[in-house]
Amino acid sequence: MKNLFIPILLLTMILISCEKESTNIYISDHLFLRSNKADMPIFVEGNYASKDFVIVLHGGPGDDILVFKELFGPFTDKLEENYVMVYWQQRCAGSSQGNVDSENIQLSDYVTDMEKLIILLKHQYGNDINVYLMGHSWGGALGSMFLLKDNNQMNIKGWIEICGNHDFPLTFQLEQEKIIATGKNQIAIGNNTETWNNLIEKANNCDLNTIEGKLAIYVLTDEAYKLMVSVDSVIINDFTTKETLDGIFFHPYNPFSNIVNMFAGAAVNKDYMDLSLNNDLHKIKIPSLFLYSEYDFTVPSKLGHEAFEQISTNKKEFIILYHSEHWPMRTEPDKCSNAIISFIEKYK
Amino acid sequence: MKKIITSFLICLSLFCNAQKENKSPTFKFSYFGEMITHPGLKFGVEHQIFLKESRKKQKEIKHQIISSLNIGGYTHFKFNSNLFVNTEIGYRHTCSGGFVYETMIGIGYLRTFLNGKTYTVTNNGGISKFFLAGSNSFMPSFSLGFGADLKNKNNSIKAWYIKPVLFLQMPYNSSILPHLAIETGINFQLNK
Repeated sequence: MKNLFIPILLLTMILISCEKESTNIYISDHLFLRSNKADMPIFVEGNYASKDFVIVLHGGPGDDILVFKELFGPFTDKLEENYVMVYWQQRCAGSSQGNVDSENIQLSDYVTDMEKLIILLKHQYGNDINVYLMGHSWGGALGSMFLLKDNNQMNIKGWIEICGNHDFPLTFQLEQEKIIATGKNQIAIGNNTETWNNLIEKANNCDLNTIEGKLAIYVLTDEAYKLMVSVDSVIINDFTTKETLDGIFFHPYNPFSNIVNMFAGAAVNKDYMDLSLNNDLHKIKIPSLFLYSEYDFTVPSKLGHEAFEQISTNKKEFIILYHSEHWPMRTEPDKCSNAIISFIEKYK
Repeated sequence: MKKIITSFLICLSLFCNAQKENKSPTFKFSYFGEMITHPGLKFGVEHQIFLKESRKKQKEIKHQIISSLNIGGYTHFKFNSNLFVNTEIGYRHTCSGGFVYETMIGIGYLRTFLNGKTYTVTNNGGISKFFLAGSNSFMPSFSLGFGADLKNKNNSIKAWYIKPVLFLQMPYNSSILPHLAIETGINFQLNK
């Protein structure tokens, strides 16, 4: 036994020293940020080695941030292997708690929350961390608002917009145009002629100067996508039975919270429907990546093109996902995550 | 919130007075699973306010008005942990074969505790941490239950029951958050 002691000791020391030299330092933290009566969960997960932190800005307003973890696993797992992903649940959304006065909620509240989030992250993980923003849908508007305020861009290394909507009046107009144009093309080749004719007629009847008209065109985008699923190479984005049951019985939070918060957060919807940032996007000067989908009728890719043209930097990329609709993180996870990793590595 | 606490304390004192008249209070102990799978426990004491026994074809049927005082809690991993106290009142029907069904309404106080370290950013850009951060809520409830009266006078366990519970958390982001739970447990007496 005595003869074995020294070799075992040496082996142990070698193993410990190897561990210290590892470049993979995974963290998995769960924090809450309390801001203006909102208690917002933050899940910080991933590889800390590079000190690159990607803040995920979910859609909605009112979506659940945990869908990125639970339904987009192949997408986020790959990103977590390389970076620290910060899943921040916005106020009045998903599992966000507290007692927010939802009647008086302002778009600026979300930006203030983001500013506080970045202060908290730097406090927790060091002032030398590199912060990237990744906004999906409404998260695109929120990220743009944040970047356009004061000197906020100085704190951000890169901006990633996935089917982001930074100009709602323009989006409603583009939705209408895309439904009509796609419908005419499909009718020309004899696909679902009657249904498309009905859809075109409904789209033409939507008065985009009214809230009712905007909501109506939004509903039609889903019908248009479903029609394309049957005839083209669009990947279907449906929940499985297991995902649905898990969402009800094994979800980390009360599933009713999502619904209640969605209605509470709906108070802000009246404001964001008029939010138009297209003319200010030239003020964005940081490296930016735009990922938009060919079959996204909700936020047509033309909106992403507009942003790509407007921003004032040469460090920018535009990528189209050819088989996806509004959730390419789920339908083309590898292509999305590879594009993001390539972007961060290029401009870090 | 002060009104709720005051009302609750009044209920509590009435309940305690009532219990003095009944020498063998019935206790209940149950699993309290919010959305079935998020675990918790509930402990309570019952008081019979009204009893009417009737016979149908020589079979005994009981009609009772029951009140109870309860304390409990449950946890949602990574969301929040909760403690509550509530008082319930309702009707219980015991069939001749021992089958029991009941319906209860209740009011209570729910305290949530966030399951994670909670920080805020102060006006000067500093960070401060909260101790036991959470919120206070009013907690009305409604339940429909069924079970069995074990009819064994020598056994301390008197009955078992299972009941779906709907309770509300008010306020929750200026709104109302409904919760569904399943409560399953036993009624027992200590001195029998």
